[in-house]
Amino acid sequence: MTSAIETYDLTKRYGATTAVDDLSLRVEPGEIYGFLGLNGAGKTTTIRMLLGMIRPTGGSASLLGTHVHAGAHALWARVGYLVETPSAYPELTVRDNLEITRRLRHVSDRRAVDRVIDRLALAPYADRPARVLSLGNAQRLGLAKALLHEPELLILDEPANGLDPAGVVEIRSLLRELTHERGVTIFMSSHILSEVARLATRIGILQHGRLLEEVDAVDLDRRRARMLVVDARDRVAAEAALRAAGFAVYGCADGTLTLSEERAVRHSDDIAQLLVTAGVPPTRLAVDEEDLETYFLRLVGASSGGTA
Amino acid sequence: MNGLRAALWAEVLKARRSPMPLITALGGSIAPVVGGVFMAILKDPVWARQHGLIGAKAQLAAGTADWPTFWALLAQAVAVGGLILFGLIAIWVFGREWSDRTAKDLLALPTPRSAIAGAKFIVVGVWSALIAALIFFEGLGIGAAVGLPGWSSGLMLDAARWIAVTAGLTVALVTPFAWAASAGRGYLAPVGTLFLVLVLAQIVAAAGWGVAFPWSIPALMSGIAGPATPRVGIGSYLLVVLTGVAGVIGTLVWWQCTDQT
Repeated sequence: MTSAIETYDLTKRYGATTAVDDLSLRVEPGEIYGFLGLNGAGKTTTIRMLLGMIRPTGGSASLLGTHVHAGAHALWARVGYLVETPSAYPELTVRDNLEITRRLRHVSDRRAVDRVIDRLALAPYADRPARVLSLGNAQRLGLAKALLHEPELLILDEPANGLDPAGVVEIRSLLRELTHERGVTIFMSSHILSEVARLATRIGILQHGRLLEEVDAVDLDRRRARMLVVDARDRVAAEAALRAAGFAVYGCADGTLTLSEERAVRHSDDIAQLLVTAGVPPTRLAVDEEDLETYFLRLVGASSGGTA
Repeated sequence: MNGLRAALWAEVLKARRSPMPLITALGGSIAPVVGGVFMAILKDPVWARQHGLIGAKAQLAAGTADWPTFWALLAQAVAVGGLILFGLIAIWVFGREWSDRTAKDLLALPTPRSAIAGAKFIVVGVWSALIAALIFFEGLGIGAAVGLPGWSSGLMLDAARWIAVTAGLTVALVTPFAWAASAGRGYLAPVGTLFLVLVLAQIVAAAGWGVAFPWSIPALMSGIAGPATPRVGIGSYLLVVLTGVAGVIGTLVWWQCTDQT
Protein backbone atom coordinates (compact mmCIF):
# COMPACT_ATOMS: atom_id res chain seq x y z
CA MET A 1 0.00 0.00 0.00
CA THR A 2 1.28 3.49 -0.86
CA SER A 3 2.23 5.56 2.16
CA ALA A 4 0.41 8.84 2.68
CA ILE A 5 3.70 10.57 3.50
CA GLU A 6 7.18 9.28 2.91
CA THR A 7 10.43 11.17 3.27
CA TYR A 8 13.95 9.91 2.63
CA ASP A 9 16.85 11.69 4.30
CA LEU A 10 15.01 14.98 3.88
CA THR A 11 17.45 17.79 4.61
CA LYS A 12 17.32 21.57 4.51
CA ARG A 13 20.34 23.74 5.15
CA TYR A 14 20.53 27.52 5.21
CA GLY A 15 24.25 28.22 4.92
CA ALA A 16 25.87 26.69 7.98
CA THR A 17 22.53 26.15 9.72
CA THR A 18 20.80 22.81 9.29
CA ALA A 19 17.07 23.25 9.80
CA VAL A 20 16.08 19.67 8.95
CA ASP A 21 18.63 16.89 9.02
CA ASP A 22 18.24 13.53 7.25
CA LEU A 23 14.60 13.16 8.20
CA SER A 24 13.08 9.85 7.16
CA LEU A 25 9.40 9.42 7.94
CA ARG A 26 6.61 7.17 6.84
CA VAL A 27 2.96 7.90 7.59
CA GLU A 28 0.42 5.30 6.56
CA PRO A 29 -3.04 6.11 5.18
CA GLY A 30 -5.62 6.73 7.89
CA GLU A 31 -3.01 7.54 10.54
CA ILE A 32 -3.00 10.64 12.69
CA TYR A 33 0.66 11.48 13.00
CA GLY A 34 1.70 13.97 15.64
CA PHE A 35 4.85 15.87 14.75
CA LEU A 36 6.23 17.25 17.94
CA GLY A 37 9.09 19.61 18.65
CA LEU A 38 10.03 22.76 20.48
CA ASN A 39 9.98 26.07 18.62
CA GLY A 40 12.79 26.06 16.06
CA ALA A 41 13.01 22.25 15.95
CA GLY A 42 12.30 22.25 12.20
CA LYS A 43 8.59 21.35 12.17
CA THR A 44 7.43 24.20 9.93
CA THR A 45 10.39 23.82 7.56
CA THR A 46 9.52 20.12 7.22
CA ILE A 47 5.88 20.95 6.55
CA ARG A 48 6.83 23.54 3.95
CA MET A 49 9.08 20.98 2.25
CA LEU A 50 6.21 18.47 2.27
CA LEU A 51 4.06 21.10 0.54
CA GLY A 52 6.67 21.98 -2.08
CA MET A 53 7.11 25.49 -0.69
CA ILE A 54 10.75 24.91 0.19
CA ARG A 55 13.13 22.93 -1.98
CA PRO A 56 15.09 20.38 0.06
CA THR A 57 18.88 20.62 0.10
CA GLY A 58 18.98 16.82 0.13
CA GLY A 59 16.67 13.81 0.18
CA SER A 60 13.15 13.70 -1.12
CA ALA A 61 9.52 13.57 -0.08
CA SER A 62 6.43 12.01 -1.56
CA LEU A 63 2.78 12.45 -0.64
CA LEU A 64 0.13 9.92 -1.66
CA GLY A 65 2.70 8.23 -3.88
CA THR A 66 3.60 11.40 -5.78
CA HIS A 67 7.01 13.04 -5.64
CA VAL A 68 6.65 16.48 -4.08
CA HIS A 69 7.54 19.53 -6.16
CA ALA A 70 6.05 22.96 -6.63
CA GLY A 71 4.33 22.00 -9.88
CA ALA A 72 2.55 18.88 -8.58
CA HIS A 73 -0.86 20.49 -9.13
CA ALA A 74 -2.82 17.23 -9.32
CA LEU A 75 -1.35 16.22 -5.95
CA TRP A 76 -2.35 19.50 -4.27
CA ALA A 77 -5.98 18.81 -5.19
CA ARG A 78 -5.79 15.84 -2.77
CA VAL A 79 -4.01 17.65 0.05
CA GLY A 80 -5.33 20.24 2.49
CA TYR A 81 -3.04 22.31 4.65
CA LEU A 82 -2.78 24.95 7.32
CA VAL A 83 0.69 26.41 7.79
CA GLU A 84 1.61 28.51 10.82
CA THR A 85 -0.83 31.26 11.78
CA PRO A 86 -4.11 31.26 9.86
CA SER A 87 -4.58 34.17 7.51
CA ALA A 88 -7.31 35.53 5.30
CA TYR A 89 -8.02 38.60 3.19
CA PRO A 90 -9.16 41.01 5.90
CA GLU A 91 -11.70 43.05 3.93
CA LEU A 92 -13.35 39.96 2.44
CA THR A 93 -16.04 38.07 4.33
CA VAL A 94 -15.54 34.53 5.60
CA ARG A 95 -17.70 33.32 2.71
CA ASP A 96 -15.69 35.33 0.14
CA ASN A 97 -12.43 33.93 1.48
CA LEU A 98 -13.79 30.39 1.20
CA GLU A 99 -15.22 31.10 -2.25
CA ILE A 100 -11.73 32.10 -3.40
CA THR A 101 -10.36 28.83 -2.01
CA ARG A 102 -13.16 26.87 -3.73
CA ARG A 103 -12.33 28.37 -7.10
CA LEU A 104 -8.55 28.11 -6.74
CA ARG A 105 -9.00 24.47 -5.73
CA HIS A 106 -11.27 23.86 -8.74
CA VAL A 107 -14.13 22.55 -6.60
CA SER A 108 -17.16 22.66 -8.90
CA ASP A 109 -19.78 22.08 -6.19
CA ARG A 110 -20.83 25.56 -5.01
CA ARG A 111 -22.41 24.07 -1.87
CA ALA A 112 -18.96 23.04 -0.63
CA VAL A 113 -18.56 26.50 0.94
CA ASP A 114 -21.81 26.22 2.93
CA ARG A 115 -20.96 22.70 4.02
CA VAL A 116 -17.58 23.65 5.40
CA ILE A 117 -19.04 26.76 7.07
CA ASP A 118 -21.52 24.52 8.89
CA ARG A 119 -18.92 21.91 9.74
CA LEU A 120 -16.58 24.48 11.32
CA ALA A 121 -19.45 26.30 13.07
CA LEU A 122 -18.69 29.50 11.16
CA ALA A 123 -22.29 30.23 10.12
CA PRO A 124 -22.74 33.21 12.53
CA TYR A 125 -19.63 34.84 11.04
CA ALA A 126 -20.09 33.85 7.38
CA ASP A 127 -20.89 37.37 6.19
CA ARG A 128 -18.49 39.23 8.45
CA PRO A 129 -15.15 40.55 7.20
CA ALA A 130 -12.27 38.29 8.18
CA ARG A 131 -10.53 41.20 9.93
CA VAL A 132 -13.07 41.18 12.78
CA LEU A 133 -12.70 37.46 13.53
CA SER A 134 -11.28 36.38 16.88
CA LEU A 135 -8.08 34.33 16.79
CA GLY A 136 -10.11 31.18 17.40
CA ASN A 137 -12.52 31.88 14.54
CA ALA A 138 -9.63 32.85 12.27
CA GLN A 139 -8.18 29.43 13.07
CA ARG A 140 -11.53 27.84 12.17
CA LEU A 141 -11.47 29.72 8.87
CA GLY A 142 -7.95 28.42 8.23
CA LEU A 143 -9.13 24.88 8.92
CA ALA A 144 -12.18 25.42 6.71
CA LYS A 145 -9.88 26.39 3.84
CA ALA A 146 -7.88 23.21 4.44
CA LEU A 147 -11.01 21.01 4.53
CA LEU A 148 -13.18 22.62 1.84
CA HIS A 149 -12.15 20.25 -0.96
CA GLU A 150 -12.39 17.13 1.27
CA PRO A 151 -8.74 16.15 0.96
CA GLU A 152 -7.27 12.67 1.46
CA LEU A 153 -4.34 14.09 3.39
CA LEU A 154 -4.37 16.96 5.85
CA ILE A 155 -1.16 18.69 6.87
CA LEU A 156 -1.79 20.96 9.82
CA ASP A 157 0.70 23.18 11.59
CA GLU A 158 -0.46 23.77 15.18
CA PRO A 159 -4.18 23.33 14.41
CA ALA A 160 -5.30 24.07 17.99
CA ASN A 161 -3.58 27.47 18.09
CA GLY A 162 -5.81 30.20 19.48
CA LEU A 163 -8.81 27.96 20.09
CA ASP A 164 -10.56 28.05 23.45
CA PRO A 165 -10.90 24.73 25.34
CA ALA A 166 -14.31 24.02 23.80
CA GLY A 167 -12.92 24.77 20.34
CA VAL A 168 -9.96 22.47 20.93
CA VAL A 169 -12.29 19.60 21.87
CA GLU A 170 -14.51 20.36 18.88
CA ILE A 171 -11.64 20.40 16.39
CA ARG A 172 -10.19 17.27 17.94
CA SER A 173 -13.42 15.37 17.46
CA LEU A 174 -13.76 16.74 13.92
CA LEU A 175 -10.28 15.51 13.00
CA ARG A 176 -10.93 12.15 14.65
CA GLU A 177 -14.18 11.85 12.70
CA LEU A 178 -12.39 12.65 9.43
CA THR A 179 -9.94 9.85 10.06
CA HIS A 180 -12.38 7.26 11.35
CA GLU A 181 -15.24 7.88 8.94
CA ARG A 182 -13.49 9.07 5.82
CA GLY A 183 -10.03 7.56 6.16
CA VAL A 184 -8.32 10.96 5.96
CA THR A 185 -4.64 10.89 6.93
CA ILE A 186 -3.63 13.70 9.27
CA PHE A 187 -0.13 14.99 9.82
CA MET A 188 -0.21 17.62 12.55
CA SER A 189 2.58 19.50 14.23
CA SER A 190 2.49 20.81 17.73
CA HIS A 191 4.75 21.70 20.62
CA ILE A 192 2.21 20.43 23.16
CA LEU A 193 2.55 16.68 23.70
CA SER A 194 -0.57 16.35 25.84
CA GLU A 195 -2.65 17.80 23.01
CA VAL A 196 -1.08 15.58 20.36
CA ALA A 197 -1.32 12.49 22.59
CA ARG A 198 -5.12 12.85 22.79
CA LEU A 199 -5.47 12.55 19.04
CA ALA A 200 -2.44 11.04 17.36
CA THR A 201 -1.93 7.36 16.71
CA ARG A 202 1.80 7.87 16.33
CA ILE A 203 4.10 10.63 17.43
CA GLY A 204 7.43 11.72 16.00
CA ILE A 205 9.60 13.94 18.15
CA LEU A 206 11.87 16.36 16.34
CA GLN A 207 14.85 18.11 17.84
CA HIS A 208 17.40 20.26 16.03
CA GLY A 209 15.94 19.02 12.75
CA ARG A 210 16.45 15.35 13.55
CA LEU A 211 13.86 12.74 14.39
CA LEU A 212 14.69 12.00 18.00
CA GLU A 213 12.10 9.34 18.65
CA GLU A 214 8.99 7.84 17.14
CA VAL A 215 6.45 6.35 19.47
CA ASP A 216 3.01 4.79 19.17
CA ALA A 217 0.58 6.83 21.24
CA VAL A 218 -0.46 3.69 23.16
CA ASP A 219 3.15 3.23 24.30
CA LEU A 220 3.41 6.69 25.80
CA ASP A 221 2.26 5.56 29.26
CA ARG A 222 4.90 2.84 29.35
CA ARG A 223 7.65 5.30 28.51
CA ARG A 224 6.84 7.90 31.09
CA ALA A 225 8.97 7.78 34.25
CA ARG A 226 7.21 6.68 37.43
CA MET A 227 8.41 7.21 41.00
CA LEU A 228 7.34 6.31 44.48
CA VAL A 229 6.75 9.29 46.76
CA VAL A 230 7.26 8.56 50.43
CA ASP A 231 6.58 10.69 53.50
CA ALA A 232 6.92 9.97 57.19
CA ARG A 233 6.79 11.90 60.46
CA ASP A 234 10.54 11.38 60.85
CA ARG A 235 11.82 11.91 57.30
CA VAL A 236 15.48 11.64 58.30
CA ALA A 237 14.96 8.23 59.88
CA ALA A 238 12.86 7.07 56.93
CA GLU A 239 15.56 8.12 54.47
CA ALA A 240 18.23 6.33 56.53
CA ALA A 241 16.14 3.14 56.61
CA LEU A 242 15.59 3.22 52.84
CA ARG A 243 19.27 3.90 52.13
CA ALA A 244 20.24 1.09 54.47
CA ALA A 245 18.03 -1.20 52.37
CA GLY A 246 19.96 -0.15 49.27
CA PHE A 247 17.51 2.30 47.69
CA ALA A 248 18.60 5.50 46.02
CA VAL A 249 16.57 8.22 47.72
CA TYR A 250 15.97 11.73 46.35
CA GLY A 251 14.49 14.63 48.21
CA CYS A 252 11.72 16.77 46.77
CA ALA A 253 11.33 20.48 47.28
CA ASP A 254 8.47 19.88 49.71
CA GLY A 255 10.64 17.55 51.86
CA THR A 256 9.07 14.29 50.73
CA LEU A 257 11.28 11.44 49.53
CA THR A 258 11.17 9.82 46.08
CA LEU A 259 12.42 6.49 44.84
CA SER A 260 12.61 5.90 41.10
CA GLU A 261 13.86 2.32 41.00
CA GLU A 262 11.49 -0.16 39.39
CA ARG A 263 11.52 -2.49 42.44
CA ALA A 264 10.35 0.37 44.65
CA VAL A 265 7.65 1.58 42.25
CA ARG A 266 6.30 -1.91 41.58
CA HIS A 267 6.43 -3.09 45.20
CA SER A 268 5.37 -0.16 47.32
CA ASP A 269 3.95 -2.67 49.84
CA ASP A 270 7.53 -3.88 50.52
CA ILE A 271 8.60 -0.27 51.14
CA ALA A 272 5.72 0.18 53.57
CA GLN A 273 6.71 -2.96 55.44
CA LEU A 274 10.37 -1.91 55.50
CA LEU A 275 9.52 1.46 57.03
CA VAL A 276 7.13 -0.03 59.59
CA THR A 277 9.79 -2.55 60.61
CA ALA A 278 12.31 0.31 60.99
CA GLY A 279 9.88 2.12 63.32
CA VAL A 280 9.08 5.00 60.88
CA PRO A 281 5.69 4.07 59.41
CA PRO A 282 4.90 6.04 56.21
CA THR A 283 2.28 8.78 56.35
CA ARG A 284 2.12 8.89 52.55
CA LEU A 285 3.03 6.33 49.91
CA ALA A 286 2.02 7.10 46.33
CA VAL A 287 3.15 6.28 42.79
CA ASP A 288 3.48 9.46 40.75
CA GLU A 289 3.66 9.34 36.99
CA GLU A 290 5.65 11.86 35.00
CA ASP A 291 3.23 14.02 33.02
CA LEU A 292 3.49 14.18 29.26
CA GLU A 293 5.09 17.60 29.12
CA THR A 294 7.80 16.59 31.57
CA TYR A 295 8.40 13.42 29.58
CA PHE A 296 8.69 15.45 26.39
CA LEU A 297 11.02 18.02 27.92
CA ARG A 298 13.14 15.27 29.47
CA LEU A 299 13.36 13.64 26.07
CA VAL A 300 14.47 16.78 24.26
CA GLY A 301 16.81 17.66 27.08
CA ALA A 302 15.15 20.95 27.95
CA SER A 303 14.45 22.21 31.42
CA SER A 304 10.93 21.53 32.59
CA GLY A 305 11.15 24.20 35.24
CA GLY A 306 10.13 21.85 38.05
CA THR A 307 9.29 18.30 38.87
CA ALA A 308 5.96 16.67 38.44
CA MET B 1 -6.81 28.17 -18.53
CA ASN B 2 -9.22 27.03 -15.83
CA GLY B 3 -6.59 28.01 -13.27
CA LEU B 4 -6.06 31.45 -14.81
CA ARG B 5 -9.81 32.09 -14.88
CA ALA B 6 -10.14 31.11 -11.21
CA ALA B 7 -7.14 33.23 -10.26
CA LEU B 8 -8.50 36.20 -12.22
CA TRP B 9 -11.87 35.88 -10.45
CA ALA B 10 -10.09 35.88 -7.09
CA GLU B 11 -7.90 38.88 -7.95
CA VAL B 12 -10.86 40.91 -9.22
CA LEU B 13 -12.84 40.15 -6.05
CA LYS B 14 -9.90 41.15 -3.83
CA ALA B 15 -9.51 44.42 -5.75
CA ARG B 16 -13.25 45.19 -5.76
CA ARG B 17 -13.60 44.71 -2.01
CA SER B 18 -10.65 46.96 -1.19
CA PRO B 19 -10.56 50.77 -1.05
CA MET B 20 -7.72 50.79 -3.58
CA PRO B 21 -9.83 51.29 -6.75
CA LEU B 22 -11.37 54.41 -5.21
CA ILE B 23 -8.00 55.68 -3.96
CA THR B 24 -6.32 55.18 -7.34
CA ALA B 25 -9.30 56.72 -9.16
CA LEU B 26 -9.01 59.79 -6.93
CA GLY B 27 -5.25 59.84 -7.54
CA GLY B 28 -5.84 59.61 -11.29
CA SER B 29 -8.36 62.45 -11.14
CA ILE B 30 -5.80 64.88 -9.76
CA ALA B 31 -4.20 65.52 -13.16
CA PRO B 32 -7.33 66.42 -15.18
CA VAL B 33 -8.85 68.41 -12.30
CA VAL B 34 -5.70 70.40 -11.49
CA GLY B 35 -4.87 70.75 -15.19
CA GLY B 36 -8.44 71.96 -15.84
CA VAL B 37 -8.13 74.57 -13.07
CA PHE B 38 -4.88 75.84 -14.61
CA MET B 39 -6.51 75.98 -18.01
CA ALA B 40 -9.45 77.95 -16.60
CA ILE B 41 -7.06 80.41 -14.96
CA LEU B 42 -5.02 80.81 -18.16
CA LYS B 43 -8.10 81.19 -20.31
CA ASP B 44 -9.32 84.19 -18.32
CA PRO B 45 -6.29 86.48 -17.55
CA VAL B 46 -8.40 89.02 -15.69
CA TRP B 47 -9.68 86.39 -13.32
CA ALA B 48 -6.10 85.00 -13.15
CA ARG B 49 -4.71 88.37 -12.14
CA GLN B 50 -7.34 88.62 -9.41
CA HIS B 51 -5.82 85.43 -8.05
CA GLY B 52 -2.30 86.94 -8.26
CA LEU B 53 0.45 84.40 -7.69
CA ILE B 54 -1.59 81.36 -8.67
CA GLY B 55 -2.26 82.90 -12.05
CA ALA B 56 1.39 83.73 -12.59
CA LYS B 57 2.49 80.19 -11.72
CA ALA B 58 -0.13 78.66 -13.96
CA GLN B 59 1.12 80.73 -16.85
CA LEU B 60 4.67 79.46 -16.29
CA ALA B 61 3.69 75.82 -16.01
CA ALA B 62 1.12 75.35 -18.69
CA GLY B 63 1.69 77.99 -21.35
CA THR B 64 -1.46 78.66 -23.29
CA ALA B 65 -4.98 77.52 -22.55
CA ASP B 66 -6.04 75.33 -25.46
CA TRP B 67 -6.76 71.70 -26.25
CA PRO B 68 -3.24 70.80 -27.58
CA THR B 69 -1.65 72.12 -24.37
CA PHE B 70 -4.20 70.38 -22.16
CA TRP B 71 -3.80 67.02 -23.93
CA ALA B 72 0.00 67.31 -23.69
CA LEU B 73 -0.34 68.07 -19.98
CA LEU B 74 -2.46 64.94 -19.48
CA ALA B 75 -0.03 62.73 -21.42
CA GLN B 76 2.79 64.02 -19.24
CA ALA B 77 0.70 63.34 -16.14
CA VAL B 78 0.16 59.73 -17.29
CA ALA B 79 3.91 59.32 -17.84
CA VAL B 80 5.05 60.70 -14.47
CA GLY B 81 1.99 60.30 -12.23
CA GLY B 82 1.21 56.99 -13.91
CA LEU B 83 4.53 55.53 -12.87
CA ILE B 84 3.64 56.30 -9.26
CA LEU B 85 -0.02 55.28 -9.52
CA PHE B 86 0.43 52.14 -11.63
CA GLY B 87 3.47 51.25 -9.54
CA LEU B 88 1.40 51.48 -6.36
CA ILE B 89 -1.27 49.26 -7.95
CA ALA B 90 1.34 46.59 -8.79
CA ILE B 91 2.90 46.89 -5.34
CA TRP B 92 -0.49 46.50 -3.65
CA VAL B 93 -1.66 43.59 -5.83
CA PHE B 94 1.51 41.58 -5.18
CA GLY B 95 2.71 42.91 -1.83
CA ARG B 96 -0.60 42.42 -0.03
CA GLU B 97 -0.16 38.64 -0.10
CA TRP B 98 2.78 39.01 2.28
CA SER B 99 1.35 41.90 4.23
CA ASP B 100 -1.83 39.85 4.87
CA ARG B 101 0.23 36.64 5.21
CA THR B 102 -1.94 34.94 2.59
CA ALA B 103 0.88 34.08 0.17
CA LYS B 104 1.36 30.63 1.72
CA ASP B 105 -2.26 29.77 0.88
CA LEU B 106 -1.52 30.28 -2.82
CA LEU B 107 1.48 28.00 -3.12
CA ALA B 108 0.19 24.40 -3.01
CA LEU B 109 -3.00 24.50 -5.06
CA PRO B 110 -4.32 22.87 -8.21
CA THR B 111 -4.11 26.39 -9.68
CA PRO B 112 -0.48 26.89 -10.76
CA ARG B 113 1.50 29.68 -9.14
CA SER B 114 2.23 31.05 -12.61
CA ALA B 115 -1.55 31.43 -13.20
CA ILE B 116 -1.91 33.31 -9.92
CA ALA B 117 0.99 35.67 -10.67
CA GLY B 118 -0.22 35.97 -14.30
CA ALA B 119 -3.71 36.92 -13.13
CA LYS B 120 -2.19 39.58 -10.89
CA PHE B 121 -0.33 41.08 -13.85
CA ILE B 122 -3.52 41.08 -15.92
CA VAL B 123 -5.37 42.89 -13.11
CA VAL B 124 -2.54 45.44 -12.80
CA GLY B 125 -2.64 46.03 -16.58
CA VAL B 126 -6.42 46.39 -16.83
CA TRP B 127 -6.65 48.51 -13.69
CA SER B 128 -3.92 50.87 -14.97
CA ALA B 129 -5.62 51.07 -18.36
CA LEU B 130 -8.88 52.04 -16.65
CA ILE B 131 -7.09 54.79 -14.71
CA ALA B 132 -5.54 56.09 -17.94
CA ALA B 133 -9.00 56.01 -19.56
CA LEU B 134 -10.40 57.86 -16.56
CA ILE B 135 -7.75 60.56 -16.95
CA PHE B 136 -8.59 60.87 -20.66
CA PHE B 137 -12.37 61.05 -20.26
CA GLU B 138 -12.22 63.33 -17.23
CA GLY B 139 -9.87 65.56 -19.22
CA LEU B 140 -12.33 65.52 -22.09
CA GLY B 141 -15.20 66.56 -19.83
CA ILE B 142 -13.23 69.19 -17.91
CA GLY B 143 -11.71 70.67 -21.09
CA ALA B 144 -15.18 70.95 -22.59
CA ALA B 145 -16.55 72.50 -19.39
CA VAL B 146 -13.75 75.10 -19.36
CA GLY B 147 -14.46 75.81 -23.04
CA LEU B 148 -10.89 75.42 -24.28
CA PRO B 149 -10.20 76.63 -27.81
CA GLY B 150 -8.49 74.56 -30.54
CA TRP B 151 -10.77 71.49 -30.44
CA SER B 152 -10.66 68.93 -33.20
CA SER B 153 -11.73 65.29 -33.18
CA GLY B 154 -8.49 64.36 -34.99
CA LEU B 155 -6.51 65.97 -32.19
CA MET B 156 -8.62 64.10 -29.62
CA LEU B 157 -7.90 60.76 -31.33
CA ASP B 158 -4.19 61.61 -31.48
CA ALA B 159 -4.30 62.48 -27.77
CA ALA B 160 -6.12 59.22 -26.98
CA ARG B 161 -3.49 57.26 -28.89
CA TRP B 162 -0.67 59.19 -27.23
CA ILE B 163 -2.09 58.69 -23.74
CA ALA B 164 -2.66 54.98 -24.48
CA VAL B 165 0.93 54.47 -25.69
CA THR B 166 2.33 56.41 -22.71
CA ALA B 167 0.16 54.37 -20.30
CA GLY B 168 1.18 51.11 -22.00
CA LEU B 169 4.88 51.92 -21.68
CA THR B 170 4.41 53.03 -18.08
CA VAL B 171 2.55 49.82 -17.17
CA ALA B 172 5.39 47.78 -18.66
CA LEU B 173 7.80 49.63 -16.38
CA VAL B 174 5.97 48.73 -13.16
CA THR B 175 6.45 44.96 -13.55
CA PRO B 176 9.83 45.08 -11.74
CA PHE B 177 7.97 46.51 -8.71
CA ALA B 178 5.85 43.33 -8.69
CA TRP B 179 9.08 41.36 -8.51
CA ALA B 180 10.37 43.63 -5.72
CA ALA B 181 7.09 43.17 -3.78
CA SER B 182 7.38 39.38 -4.12
CA ALA B 183 11.09 39.12 -3.35
CA GLY B 184 10.81 41.73 -0.59
CA ARG B 185 7.69 40.01 0.79
CA GLY B 186 5.59 43.09 1.32
CA TYR B 187 5.38 46.79 0.58
CA LEU B 188 8.61 48.27 1.92
CA ALA B 189 11.09 47.01 -0.68
CA PRO B 190 8.98 47.87 -3.76
CA VAL B 191 8.01 51.32 -2.45
CA GLY B 192 11.71 51.99 -1.82
CA THR B 193 12.48 50.76 -5.34
CA LEU B 194 9.76 52.99 -6.79
CA PHE B 195 11.16 56.10 -5.09
CA LEU B 196 14.71 55.20 -6.11
CA VAL B 197 13.62 54.77 -9.71
CA LEU B 198 11.75 58.10 -9.69
CA VAL B 199 14.79 59.95 -8.37
CA LEU B 200 17.14 58.19 -10.80
CA ALA B 201 14.78 58.93 -13.71
CA GLN B 202 15.07 62.66 -12.93
CA ILE B 203 18.85 62.59 -12.52
CA VAL B 204 19.53 60.47 -15.59
CA ALA B 205 17.17 62.54 -17.75
CA ALA B 206 18.79 65.77 -16.54
CA ALA B 207 22.20 64.35 -17.44
CA GLY B 208 20.97 63.76 -20.98
CA TRP B 209 20.90 59.97 -20.82
CA GLY B 210 17.16 59.61 -20.31
CA VAL B 211 16.64 57.71 -23.58
CA ALA B 212 18.80 54.91 -22.17
CA PHE B 213 17.04 54.68 -18.79
CA PRO B 214 13.71 52.84 -19.12
CA TRP B 215 11.85 54.78 -16.42
CA SER B 216 12.72 58.15 -18.01
CA ILE B 217 11.47 57.18 -21.47
CA PRO B 218 7.65 57.63 -21.18
CA ALA B 219 8.12 61.10 -19.70
CA LEU B 220 10.59 62.10 -22.43
CA MET B 221 8.26 60.66 -25.04
CA SER B 222 5.37 62.72 -23.69
CA GLY B 223 7.43 65.87 -24.25
CA ILE B 224 7.80 66.85 -20.62
CA ALA B 225 11.34 68.14 -21.17
CA GLY B 226 10.18 70.67 -23.78
CA PRO B 227 11.59 71.30 -27.26
CA ALA B 228 15.11 70.19 -26.25
CA THR B 229 13.89 66.62 -25.55
CA PRO B 230 16.23 64.00 -27.01
CA ARG B 231 14.59 61.87 -29.66
CA VAL B 232 13.05 58.69 -28.24
CA GLY B 233 13.95 56.05 -30.82
CA ILE B 234 13.05 52.43 -31.38
CA GLY B 235 15.93 51.35 -29.10
CA SER B 236 14.33 53.18 -26.18
CA TYR B 237 10.93 51.58 -26.80
CA LEU B 238 12.64 48.20 -27.00
CA LEU B 239 14.36 48.90 -23.70
CA VAL B 240 10.99 49.61 -22.05
CA VAL B 241 9.49 46.41 -23.47
CA LEU B 242 12.51 44.38 -22.34
CA THR B 243 12.25 45.87 -18.84
CA GLY B 244 8.57 44.91 -18.72
CA VAL B 245 9.26 41.37 -19.92
CA ALA B 246 12.14 41.00 -17.46
CA GLY B 247 9.86 42.12 -14.63
CA VAL B 248 7.20 39.56 -15.57
CA ILE B 249 9.65 36.70 -16.06
CA GLY B 250 11.56 37.56 -12.88
CA THR B 251 8.32 37.58 -10.89
CA LEU B 252 7.06 34.30 -12.35
CA VAL B 253 10.41 32.58 -11.77
CA TRP B 254 10.50 33.91 -8.22
CA TRP B 255 6.99 32.59 -7.48
CA GLN B 256 7.80 29.22 -8.99
CA CYS B 257 11.34 28.55 -7.83
CA THR B 258 12.25 30.51 -4.71
CA ASP B 259 11.96 28.94 -1.26
CA GLN B 260 8.80 30.28 0.37
CA THR B 261 9.91 30.32 3.97
